[in-house]
Amino acid sequence: MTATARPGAPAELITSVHAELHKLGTLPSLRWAAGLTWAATVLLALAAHRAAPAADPVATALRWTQAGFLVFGVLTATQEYESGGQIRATLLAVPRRFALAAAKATALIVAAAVLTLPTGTAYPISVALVGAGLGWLLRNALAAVATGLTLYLIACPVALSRWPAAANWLPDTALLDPGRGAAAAVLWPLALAVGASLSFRWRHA
Amino acid sequence: MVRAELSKLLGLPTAWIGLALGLIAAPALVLVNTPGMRQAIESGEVTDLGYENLGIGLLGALILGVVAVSSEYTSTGDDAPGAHQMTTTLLAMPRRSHLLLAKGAALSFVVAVQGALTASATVLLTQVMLPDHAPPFEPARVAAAVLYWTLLGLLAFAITLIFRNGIITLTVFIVNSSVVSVSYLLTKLTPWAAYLPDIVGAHMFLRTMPGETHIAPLTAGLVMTAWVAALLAAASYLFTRRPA
Repeated sequence: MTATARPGAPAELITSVHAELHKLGTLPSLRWAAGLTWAATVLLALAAHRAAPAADPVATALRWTQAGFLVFGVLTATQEYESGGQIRATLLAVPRRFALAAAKATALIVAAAVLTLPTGTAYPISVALVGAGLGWLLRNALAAVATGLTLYLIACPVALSRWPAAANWLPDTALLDPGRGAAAAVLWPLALAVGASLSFRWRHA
Repeated sequence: MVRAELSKLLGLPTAWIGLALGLIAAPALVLVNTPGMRQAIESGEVTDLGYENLGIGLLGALILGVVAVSSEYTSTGDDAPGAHQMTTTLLAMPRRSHLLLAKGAALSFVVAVQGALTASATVLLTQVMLPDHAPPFEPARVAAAVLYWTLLGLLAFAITLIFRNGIITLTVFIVNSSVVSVSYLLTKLTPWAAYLPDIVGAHMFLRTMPGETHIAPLTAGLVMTAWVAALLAAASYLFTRRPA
């Protein structure tokens, strides 16, 4: 009998990140989400430029199309739980759940960074991560999209108009005022990622 | 048939989320906005007090309209990816046009009941919070808001039926119902954008809207009904022609 050498932890992580990136790059629903988000951003930026030439058209368009990045993040998580139960195959290949969560988060950050490159802001990465966190917690695309969109597009603006001092702690301030909202744009996804990995660790697949 | 659809709709957990959200969103917005509204009244800017917060209640109608369809297309089990409830439904009710009528009727009924409760509660709550400034309770305007929600629910129903995917409908409508809607951006480009279904419908119960175009409530109602009718016609044509 020959003992097979177990590859080191870093090598394992790189392999699983590569596998997760491959999934993100080839799933049709993610391609659709990314394509529609880009198309909507370009169209709305053109419209915003014609309506108000002084403002930054991309930032104006992102106020709405950040929804696309949120949906992208949600789908990266919930595609594992769609019919067919892909999560079981994934966990057979990568049984350590924290390692899998880390690989998935890394792959999503890379993919979202590539997607958001043309806009010139890192803010959509934060939105995509929040979406993924909600997707992992709720395991249902429709519920996660509804929760995330209500949070970003309805609850946050309402909270901002009621308590202007809370702007530093709302996840969407970073889009309009990067200096003030940067901390919140990092802390929200971080908190959700920690919560989602813990629940992923303890719940059944 | 309508009873069967009603019990299916009210048996869905997500439908209850929609009902709860629709019931609490508008009254909660009144509570949150009251200090801001006091300031606005003192500077004389508010015109649609009590009615301006009603728009947010469309969330409930929207979710109900989406899940009424998407629940039928959700796969029933992990190991049977192709199986969904629509097959069983159509076995029980093979006439597709009748099924759509029953579904639409059940959805409209639930949304209308929920809308009537929410709209009355919101306007009455405004009278309690701001007794000196609140406008009188106008049944016609409340009824118009309820009609707006019902039509929006049917609109979401039709679009979900066309795409067979709730995420697209939900994203488009929530993005558009955010504080500054996309339709509003479009009205700056062309005045015709004021006739998009969600903007034109709000003219039924609001007297002042952002933007210059003023549309009479009756015209607004007719235009929105025409939009909904056209989309429902397209949806039912596709539904009768496509494989389930």
